[in-house]
Amino acid sequence: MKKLKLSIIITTRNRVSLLRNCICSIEKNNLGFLYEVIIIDDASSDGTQEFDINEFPNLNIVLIQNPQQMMMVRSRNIGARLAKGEFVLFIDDDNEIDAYMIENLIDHLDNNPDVGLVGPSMYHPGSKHPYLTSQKINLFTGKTTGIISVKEKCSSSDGIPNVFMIRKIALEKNNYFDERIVQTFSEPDFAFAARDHSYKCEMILTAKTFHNKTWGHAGIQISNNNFRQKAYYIMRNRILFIRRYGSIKHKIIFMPFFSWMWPTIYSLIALRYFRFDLIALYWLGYADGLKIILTGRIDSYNDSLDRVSRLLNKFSRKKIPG
Amino acid sequence: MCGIFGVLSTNRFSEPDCIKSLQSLHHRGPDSARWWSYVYNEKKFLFLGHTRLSIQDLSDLGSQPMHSSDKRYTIIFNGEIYNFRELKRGLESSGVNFTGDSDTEVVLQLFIKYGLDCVEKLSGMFAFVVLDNISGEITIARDRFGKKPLYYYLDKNRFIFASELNAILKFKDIKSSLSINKTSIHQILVTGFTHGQSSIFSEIKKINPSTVSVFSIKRMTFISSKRYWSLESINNASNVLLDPCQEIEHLFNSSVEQRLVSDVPICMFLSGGVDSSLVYSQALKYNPDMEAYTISYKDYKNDESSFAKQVADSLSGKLNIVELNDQQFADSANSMMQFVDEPIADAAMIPLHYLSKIAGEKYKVALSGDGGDEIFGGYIKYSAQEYIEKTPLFIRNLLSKLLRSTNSPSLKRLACGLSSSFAERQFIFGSGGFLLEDLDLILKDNHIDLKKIFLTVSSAPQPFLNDPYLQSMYLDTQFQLPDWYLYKADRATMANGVELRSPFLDHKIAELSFSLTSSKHRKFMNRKIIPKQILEKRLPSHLVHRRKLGFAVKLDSWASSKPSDEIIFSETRSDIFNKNWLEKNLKYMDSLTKFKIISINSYLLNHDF
Repeated sequence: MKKLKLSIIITTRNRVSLLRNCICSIEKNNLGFLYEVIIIDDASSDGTQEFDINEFPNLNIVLIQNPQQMMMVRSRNIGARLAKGEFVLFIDDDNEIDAYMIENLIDHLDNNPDVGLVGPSMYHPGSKHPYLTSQKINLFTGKTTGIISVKEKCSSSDGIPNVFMIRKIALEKNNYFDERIVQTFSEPDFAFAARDHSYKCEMILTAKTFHNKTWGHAGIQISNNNFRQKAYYIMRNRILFIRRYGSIKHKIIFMPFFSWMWPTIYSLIALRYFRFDLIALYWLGYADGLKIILTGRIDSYNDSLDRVSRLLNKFSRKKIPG
Repeated sequence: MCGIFGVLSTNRFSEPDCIKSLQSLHHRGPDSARWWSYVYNEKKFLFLGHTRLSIQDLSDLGSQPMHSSDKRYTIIFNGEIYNFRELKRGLESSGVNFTGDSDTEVVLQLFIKYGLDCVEKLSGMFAFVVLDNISGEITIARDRFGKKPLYYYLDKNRFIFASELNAILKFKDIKSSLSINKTSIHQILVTGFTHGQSSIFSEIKKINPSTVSVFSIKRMTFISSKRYWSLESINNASNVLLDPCQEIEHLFNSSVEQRLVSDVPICMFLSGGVDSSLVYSQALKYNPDMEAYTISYKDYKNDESSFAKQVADSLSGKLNIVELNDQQFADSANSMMQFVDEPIADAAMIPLHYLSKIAGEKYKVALSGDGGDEIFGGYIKYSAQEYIEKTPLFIRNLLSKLLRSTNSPSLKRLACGLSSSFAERQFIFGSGGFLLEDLDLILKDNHIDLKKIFLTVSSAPQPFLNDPYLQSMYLDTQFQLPDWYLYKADRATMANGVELRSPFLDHKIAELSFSLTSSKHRKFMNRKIIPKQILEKRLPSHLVHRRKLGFAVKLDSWASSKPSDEIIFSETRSDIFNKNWLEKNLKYMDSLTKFKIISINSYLLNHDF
């Protein structure tokens, strides 16, 4: 059996036209080796399930349809476990990658055996200037900062959102993504955990992706109710992240001075749009984060989703499956 | 060689409706027709049908749909597997029992043993469908070069597939779900064929060559699609071979030998050109009595039958010269127009149809030289592409502007190509189609999206970037060969129940040929060096190095005849064509241009669209 160099995993939900553009951009990467594309459709209801993968004759595509919504991290793991490639490239469906991105990412991994994860610099569609070339997380404040620097061809990063390539061996050593995180902070969590196995995380300028960003200010998605759960996880997982990777000093500063600031700021923004459901989710996430700090116990994937679902049902909005 | 048809539906359908569709494939398999209906999980209704042209295992044991002994798997198969006896021996040695001696049973057992990877072991031409009623999956596969066709229609409730588009059209109530794909019409007018997966209807697609796809009955969608063979990953390692010609000759001889495996007699379609002459020369070594057929037009300057005669005489073969007069040409053209399942832009289909009709009275299988030009770089456009790529861009643009100001259509075509991308130029050259700038005049729609016309070919992988000659050969093998030439050959011959076998289209030969740099394929303007070198050992030099004509087509008298003009004037689709412009310019059109318009019009009229 031929050994695969690369597996590409695209997770998608209810964004069939973005998905199509994303795959087209992959097809334009002129790769002279065998690779597979695994699409994880997270229980879409917009026609993604009728998406005909034969539209892309030059790609080897496997389409997995989750019977119910499983969220980003679990979906990524479903794809990652199936992946047969030496490298695994994760692409969110709202990206259109540059025609040389894959080649450049692979070159970087081939030439730097100590790098476990590598990502491209990120651009808005049509823009000539990147909006993200690396990411830093301040463990005192919990703030994630996007850095734009075109001086360094390669920058160390505390995590890579949207599009990133991982050695399959690093995935296995890390035991894949922690599914209890469900979404947000999953990539930094993986990057920090990979450091234990001596793998670096870097973003490079020569590789580019164009990201159709759909999230609004401060992570509040006002127009789309598909991903409201994110409001809960963004608060809970920040605290979880500091607990896992922060030193005593970090925790002493973060907990009394900064941890409560995040739900407060986000709630004030959400208040402008009368999104009381989001406000409730922020504080529930915060409360569960505190519980993790105090007890060290993290809710299972199903338990946390149940809590979110129950809360959202009280706001009589669309019930979240799963 | 056969016809296959199937329906999967969430609603119960009437079996006679399916049989009607299956009957429309009678010409592909006149020897028998069988079908099988199945209800999956009491929710989905399946029909699998097959018309059979018996070539291997003429007994009933080769009949289809064929079931595995445990009834889990059911296959319908169209094609020929040339290495099936070798594969069968391997399976038998691993304990698999066979009931008959057909290649279909070998494919079924291979599928059971190796799953989707079984296609990589097959050498031949095929399109097949396998139902696994335990996993609830339907596997569909097509051969490497796209010799055997397979179309499908898919909506929320129905999945219909067939060897020919016409069989899908015949299915009850389907026409109301279909719309004409205008981009396909533009592609036919400009390049001569519909590209890639698309067909003349937006809702009907082709399974891509070299692809094996899995369809989930439960989800009513394709769940995986794998391209199991491609020329992209080939590198130029074989240039280290001291004598690639010798290696290719060895593979070619074996390919011809494989294609002579049949339980019925085989003949040869001989044009007298390099490719068919080479095939015939080798086939005669195994079967000295093999008859050849060629076409002849009376009083036509491009008639090649005299060359075919010289080749047959030199090889001591027996040649049948089939004469085609104007009336027979017109009858054959009208007959083709009636049953082609997509509009045709290539009039060469007509003499091939007539030739197979005559040969088909005696033979079920014929050999041809198809694919030789694509695999060994025979077309002049490959050289043109190479020279243009070597020309600096500013000179190309300058030349393009100069040539555009001339009145000559061929110079204008050259100008158009000079200013286009590599992939676009590939299919503008040699297509005989309309110039891009003329489309606005001919068509009613004034906003033709030229990017859309070439979208499929432009988004294809671009291997061999450092060798434009090979890159050009690759694009033809990828698109023009399956979607035009092999389509033409399949429909013209299968219309008369004749199976066409092409020894040049063997994947091992293609892999070796594409692993050589272009310097091994051409020297200055002398192209297709390798087949010529092999043939020089078998035929006099003047027959090897003569100017290429191909199966010549005598269109003029037919296309300028009264009935054809009438079609253009009175029945032209005014929602597609600009009738006024056509009426004014009819007298200036050449016969090939008229043929394209007539072909599209006739197709739409014949199918009530």
